[in-house]
Amino acid sequence: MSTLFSFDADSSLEKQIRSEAREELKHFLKKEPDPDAAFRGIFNRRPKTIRWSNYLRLKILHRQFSKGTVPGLPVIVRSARFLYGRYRNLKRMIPDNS
Amino acid sequence: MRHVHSTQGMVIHQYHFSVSPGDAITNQMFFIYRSLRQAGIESRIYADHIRGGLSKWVNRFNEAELWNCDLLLLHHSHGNPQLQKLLGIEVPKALIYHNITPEHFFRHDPHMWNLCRIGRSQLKLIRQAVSTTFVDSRFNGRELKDLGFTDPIHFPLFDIGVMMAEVSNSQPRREKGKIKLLFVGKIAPHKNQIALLRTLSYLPPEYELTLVGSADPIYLDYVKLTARALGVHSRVQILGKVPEKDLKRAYQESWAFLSTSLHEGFGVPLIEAMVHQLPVFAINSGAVAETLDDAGVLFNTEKPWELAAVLKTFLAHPEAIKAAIARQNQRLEALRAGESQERVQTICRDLVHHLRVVPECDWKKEAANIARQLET
Repeated sequence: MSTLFSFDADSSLEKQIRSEAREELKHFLKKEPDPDAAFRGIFNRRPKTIRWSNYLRLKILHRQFSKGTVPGLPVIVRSARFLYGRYRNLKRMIPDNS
Repeated sequence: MRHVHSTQGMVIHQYHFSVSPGDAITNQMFFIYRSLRQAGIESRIYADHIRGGLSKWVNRFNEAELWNCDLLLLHHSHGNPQLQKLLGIEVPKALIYHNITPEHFFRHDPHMWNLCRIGRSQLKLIRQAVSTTFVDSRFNGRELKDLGFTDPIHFPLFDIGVMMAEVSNSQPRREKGKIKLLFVGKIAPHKNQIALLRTLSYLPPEYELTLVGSADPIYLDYVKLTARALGVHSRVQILGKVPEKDLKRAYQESWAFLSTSLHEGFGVPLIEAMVHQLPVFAINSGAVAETLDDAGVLFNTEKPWELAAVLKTFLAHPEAIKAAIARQNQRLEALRAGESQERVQTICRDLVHHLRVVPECDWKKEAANIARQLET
């Protein structure tokens, strides 16, 4: 705890802040003993505050920003682009009778 | 040999690839521009990408117009497609280095990833072409020294005296019953706004967070969705890029400035927060410790629950906040001499005089000498 923060002030004030912050931290950790696991938890089980479609987007984005890659995503994007290209080609080939 | 001791006929131009309102580099360019014009030195700003209606004051890059200047100040913060052309202009050049964000923060954005990577590799070319190197922090200076640059010297980013005078009459407009935390900076992975949201999630409901700054759209989406998943979305206000008066208001309404940024080349918002008499709480990364220099509260941890515990304790102690602000004001006073208009004028004038006096000799070496003298 003593290295948690640097604060250039008179020593008694600094000491008081450090001891109270330590108590506060104990209080947080009592409520949530493993905060990192709790954060990871929101990516394993959908919180009620978020809709399914947004939740899936969040999972992809979290993976992207925490690990740097999303396995399978480039393949999905390439496949989607390919299929869309084929669809446009086919559409162009079919005469427009309207 | 020609001795010129006045600024008459002196021309110093600046170039950066892009300019946009509110951006720290653009602000510095305008600050230098004003300082030079006030000293009677002719000066113009050139850029390739001119955004936000700045074309009234900024000229589109034109090689031919830059050939007649005494000194070209080359701002560098990412890859510059015009670099070869710029380096081909045979006028004395000085680099103002603003730091390049490490590309690993932009794995989601191939364009930015490339710009950062190219920007770093271009530094080698720039090193061979410039007479003097300027940096806004020692942190940036160390980075350049590692790349073989000799003696980068400090160049002011703004005039702290002017900034302090502008906000001297402003009063805090804090809402009762709410404790607003503020962060100003681009909403982007290296600024780590996710840690701010996580910190907020440990704090009681009266704590709110305001985010100011332009946004990387993909990261912004991530921030918004994470806020929702953490259940703090109703306590987070994302203002985006705002005009000067709204930024001032955001500072006035806040109780503290909280930064969890993982990369700072200097940290202009830290100074702005200090000027607005806000206590600054920041993670020790990049140039943050150097900018604060024992002022404010520097976190030696990145764990959001630890940040929340420290922040909550501090904000419950008005005497601690008072002590932090008093120390911050001392820091601002210490910065005053180095971050001023006069300093810009002295550096530029001395450098150009020297380059004019010794045109035949090794002006690169001579410029380095004058830079050393200025430093002392």
